[in-house]
Amino acid sequence: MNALECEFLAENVLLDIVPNFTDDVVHLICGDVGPFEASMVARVPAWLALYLKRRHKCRIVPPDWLTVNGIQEMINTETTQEPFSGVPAHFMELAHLLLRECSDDVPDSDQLKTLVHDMWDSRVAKMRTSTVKFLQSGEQRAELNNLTQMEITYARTSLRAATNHVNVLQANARDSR
Amino acid sequence: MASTSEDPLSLGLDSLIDGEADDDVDAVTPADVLQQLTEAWQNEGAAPELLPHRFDVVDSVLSQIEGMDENLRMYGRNKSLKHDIHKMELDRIIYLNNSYLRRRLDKIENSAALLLEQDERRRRDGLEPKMSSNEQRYAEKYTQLQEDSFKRCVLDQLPVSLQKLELARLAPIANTDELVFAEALETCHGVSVPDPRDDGPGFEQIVVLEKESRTLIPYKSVQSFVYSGDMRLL
Repeated sequence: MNALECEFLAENVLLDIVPNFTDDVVHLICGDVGPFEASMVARVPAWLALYLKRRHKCRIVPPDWLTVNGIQEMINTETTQEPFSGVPAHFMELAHLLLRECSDDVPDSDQLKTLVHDMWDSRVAKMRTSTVKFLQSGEQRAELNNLTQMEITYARTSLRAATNHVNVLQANARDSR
Repeated sequence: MASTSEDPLSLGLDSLIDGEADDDVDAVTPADVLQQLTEAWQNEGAAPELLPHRFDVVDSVLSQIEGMDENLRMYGRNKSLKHDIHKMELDRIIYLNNSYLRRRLDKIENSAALLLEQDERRRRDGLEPKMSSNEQRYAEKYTQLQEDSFKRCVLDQLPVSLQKLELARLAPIANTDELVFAEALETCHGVSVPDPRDDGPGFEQIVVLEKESRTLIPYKSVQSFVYSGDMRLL
């Protein structure tokens, strides 16, 4: 998995859009969408929302957590409590996609970009300290509830290399005893 | 989740309740099948070894794609928005499908000879082979080419006593001790994890992984749960 593949997965998340056209139900393989009626909210997968947006066929309603207050609150919980806080699935990927592709539909998009970045930083920092703790403990298992796909992808390569090293060293230590 | 794999490891309670995998393929919706393919794709990307193939899913997705493709060609003369939306979804699914096949081929090319040997052993033990018949044919051809090339380039010029070539011994062995990120789709009981407090292998802790919990865990601890579809890799 890489970041692009995470984004591909995130594009399956359902979003609300306000279309500016009228059409009946579309029977997609991933489920039916529509009927579409101009200026009536409809729920579609993110890839479709972004596609329609690119063709100027709709306005995307940003998810309710993607607001200055929403993200600020997320950062607060994140920095005040020890374990990872529960965040919406694919939050980083979606925030990134929406702020990149339809910043005109997201209020305060510039401020949000910074905040989303701060949020990411605080989670990654937490991940780093817990990774070090984990490696020092020699445990073979760690609870990772609330980590998102993107964060897992981000941590995977280095964590895998590090634990493989530790395993080799431990096996050597056992053998030489 | 239905009994998705034909691997005997998975023939637990699920399969008794749900019946054989082939029977309920018709009962699942296209969206479910797509979800299963996505999961198989993710699992294949995260697992250190080649997983048992899911060509039951691939085939049913392919038949969906073909049906949709035909419809598009029939009604596709007028470039309507609907047509374009369907086309876009089709492209996404084709990408997913191709990427799944490629991930498997990458692994197969990496240790073709070894996988052929392992599948042979699985067949002897009455287990379903991990590769589909097409993949197996591919692996055989690939091994043959590898062998020919080794012979032509190097081995033929060596003394006869040094000409022995065992490709299966050269192939990298999947490291099942590697840590993976797993999510329990059902509550999993009796997951055994090596205990770090005891020295040496053979000491284990038994843990329960609650439904929807995510853990970092050695692959071999969750292998059978991934086969049975009770866990997925992230």
